[in-house]
Amino acid sequence: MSTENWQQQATGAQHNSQGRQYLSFVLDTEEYGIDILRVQELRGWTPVTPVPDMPEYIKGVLNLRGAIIPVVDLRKRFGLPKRDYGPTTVVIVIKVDSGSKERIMGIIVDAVAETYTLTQDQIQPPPKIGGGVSSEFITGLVAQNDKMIVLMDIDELMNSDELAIDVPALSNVK
Amino acid sequence: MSIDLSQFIGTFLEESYEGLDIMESGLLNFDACDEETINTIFRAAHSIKGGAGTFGFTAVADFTHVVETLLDEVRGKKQVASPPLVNLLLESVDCIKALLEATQDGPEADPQLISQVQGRLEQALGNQAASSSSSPTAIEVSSILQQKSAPQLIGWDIHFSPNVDVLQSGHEPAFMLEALAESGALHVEALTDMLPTLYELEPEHLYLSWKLVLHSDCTEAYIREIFEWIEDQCELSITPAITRTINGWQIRFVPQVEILQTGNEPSLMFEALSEFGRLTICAETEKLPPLSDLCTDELYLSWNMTLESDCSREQVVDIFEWVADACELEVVALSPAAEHIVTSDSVASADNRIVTKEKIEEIDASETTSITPTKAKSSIEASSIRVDTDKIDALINRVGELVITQAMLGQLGDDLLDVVGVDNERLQKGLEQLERNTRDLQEDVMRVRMLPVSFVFNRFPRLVHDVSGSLSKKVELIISGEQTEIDKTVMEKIGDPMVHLVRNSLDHGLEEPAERIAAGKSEVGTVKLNAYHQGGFVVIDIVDDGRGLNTEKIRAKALEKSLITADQQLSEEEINALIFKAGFSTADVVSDLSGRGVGLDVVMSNIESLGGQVSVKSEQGKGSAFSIKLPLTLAILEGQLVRVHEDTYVIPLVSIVETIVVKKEAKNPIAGEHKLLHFRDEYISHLDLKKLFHLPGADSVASTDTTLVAIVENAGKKVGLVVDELYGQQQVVVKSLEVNFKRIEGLSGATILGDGSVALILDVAGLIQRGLNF
Repeated sequence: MSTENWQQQATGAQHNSQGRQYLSFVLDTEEYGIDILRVQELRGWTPVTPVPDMPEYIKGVLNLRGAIIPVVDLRKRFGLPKRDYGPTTVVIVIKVDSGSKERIMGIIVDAVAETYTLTQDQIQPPPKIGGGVSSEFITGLVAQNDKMIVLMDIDELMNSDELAIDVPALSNVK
Repeated sequence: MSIDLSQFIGTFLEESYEGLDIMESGLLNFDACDEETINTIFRAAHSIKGGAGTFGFTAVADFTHVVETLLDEVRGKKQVASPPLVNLLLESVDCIKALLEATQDGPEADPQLISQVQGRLEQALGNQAASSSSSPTAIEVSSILQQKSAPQLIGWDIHFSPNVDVLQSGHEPAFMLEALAESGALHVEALTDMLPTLYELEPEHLYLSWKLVLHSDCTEAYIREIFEWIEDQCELSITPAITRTINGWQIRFVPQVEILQTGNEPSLMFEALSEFGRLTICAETEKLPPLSDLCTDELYLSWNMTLESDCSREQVVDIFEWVADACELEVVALSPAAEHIVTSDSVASADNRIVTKEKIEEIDASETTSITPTKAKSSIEASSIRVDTDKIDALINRVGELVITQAMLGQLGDDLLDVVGVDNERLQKGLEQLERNTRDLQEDVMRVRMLPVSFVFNRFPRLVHDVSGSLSKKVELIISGEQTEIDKTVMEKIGDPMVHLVRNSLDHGLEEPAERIAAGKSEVGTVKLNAYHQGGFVVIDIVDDGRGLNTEKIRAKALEKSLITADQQLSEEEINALIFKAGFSTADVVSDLSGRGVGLDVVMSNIESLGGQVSVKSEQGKGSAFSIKLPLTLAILEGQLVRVHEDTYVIPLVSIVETIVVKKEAKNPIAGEHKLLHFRDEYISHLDLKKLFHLPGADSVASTDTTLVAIVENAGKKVGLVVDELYGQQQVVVKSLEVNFKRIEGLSGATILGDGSVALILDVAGLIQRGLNF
């Protein structure tokens, strides 16, 4: 599916239900939400092929029906304590808008929690915070059932640092 | 009701680009021109024009129309296909390409260039109009008219276009025009199509050229004498002027300044007029106020137009009907002769009609003849279909998946061999069959992507034509093996490196004609392009018979750039290989052709990134030969599977020279740590992959008695890769890491193994680079 396509769908969903649907997942004790239209599929944890010389949070690459996709351990990305992968560990396969193209990537989370339909007025602006999760990855905060859900900007997160697309090393010969 | 045309635009563009290629190659072969070539070129232009009109690309259609008209005259032998004309047509091909690209979010076509080329095309057409009537055949056609028409005017048609910098050398064109006017009545028309925008205007430059008609009985030499001083700084064409027998109207259109406010748009009227025939428009700008007084909704221009058409005066006047009371309009028959015929001599007029009608029939006839071969051709082409490359790639991917599944089943079959109670023979047979069929299917699908290398070669006749022209060298290009097939992806990436090498040959390799003759060679240099299969590779040779590489000069240069040391003993081949080193360029003069700082090292790295190799052989005074060796396809490679730590990696089999077990004693320490391997009289550095990739267990290698080393080679350099275990060899389907991730140093991609897991493919060239710097 092209970038435009899902963007159209995203706006479509917004209009129809007066809100956006978010998928929430758990990392340590925290709950995070991402736009559900970015989620392609959920997979159980299977070992991946490590890629040499990568920061620890990039676990490696896996075979998604013939496509090679990178997998990021969000716990490590956010500097949370290490936990062994278990039966609830999930790889969320997401579509990331990387400017010139759309990339498919996987994120490893402790568990998938729920889906929420949220309207714009339920979402509060993100506070300025430091630490592992820098505020640029956060689009907003939502209170649901006495819990705080952190809404994340997948594009910012998955195009940051080592995940950014490199400028091709070889320029054209003229 | 209306059909959505946009879905066909892609097809139109594709066909147009193909059409342009046809035109280009046709034009380049014009020397040995036969009618079929001209017809082919004409048809290509014709269908581009037609298509462009349908899709509303008026700029393309209008421009192509002029080209087509000119081609039609060449076809009808009314115009001689002289080299300048062919060059002009080639330039027009570029313009059409630029215009087409501009319609598809491409960069805006340079309007100045377009109008300049169009102007020259029209000029070529104009020249023809004048000269054809003087040629015997044309006189025959129009003799009936001329006998009855007004006496022929004797004079000269002069086209004078000075260089832009002519004013700086102190020449004043106005004086020359004055001198001309002394000898007779002079009609001056300034051509302003070269005029840039106000911002770009250089006060010291001259952007005008002139079309002059001199009614005088002076000689051509007299006129040339006037222009003598700037002869070499201008383009001057002098043709005898004869009364035009073409029917048409001289229209003078002076609208009132408020005309725009009533919603009338003069340019639309001109468009309508141009539908009647060839329209030449000349705007008069005398009334133009200074910039500060300029009012945007007022019109200060008036126009003088020449319409070559058989339409009636009423038809012309009708077009201006809406503005009739807001303008001054004069419609005068074009030439005295025509006037004479139309107004007073009805017999001649009838004759004239017949002539035109015959002309039309002639055109019709040629149109029909041109259609017949097209039809015949299309029936041949029907055996091929146009498929989106994405679809083919998807198919190749799917087949790749099938190969993986087949490998998985094969593994499973092997595991079941020892299990009792399974009909092993039948299972094995079935699996073998599956394997064979999958391989065949894969090969077939791969062949779909294969294209003859002529797609790359085709651009070189033009390149050589242009470059040799600007270098004033005589070059013959010999192309062979253009039917050799190569993967489309490889082909797309080999174009630029090849252009570089060919330019190099033309610029540095081949000598000036004089130098060649002095060396006892033919004045015409040759550049040969040849492609052929060799093993699993395609080899492309670029051979010239020029001066060859100057080993002494290269050595000196390499010393100067400290690429080598003075006491280094190098063989001739080793010296020649230095030209591929980064930062190396022997060109004494940096020309705009080659030697712009991008050297052969880029060519080499580009070719190596394709998994290919490039080498050079040269003999001083005899020429040089570059050889590019490329894999047939980038999608599949024969790989050696190895284990490093806990992971499986793939080393391309082509790079592996040998795999050896190295005893501890065979490693020679340098500075205690770095180890060199003694391998067949060579010392090669050895690269521990675990250490390089920062994998655990790197230190244990050093302490073990024996290590397994795969010696890999690329571009003549060898490195030993330390691995933990060798697995099997197999064909692997190369998957890009860049699609969803990014390019990673030391890795050229990944593949999926029989068990569905991912194995990374090592980039040998990159590793050697790293190994040597390690």
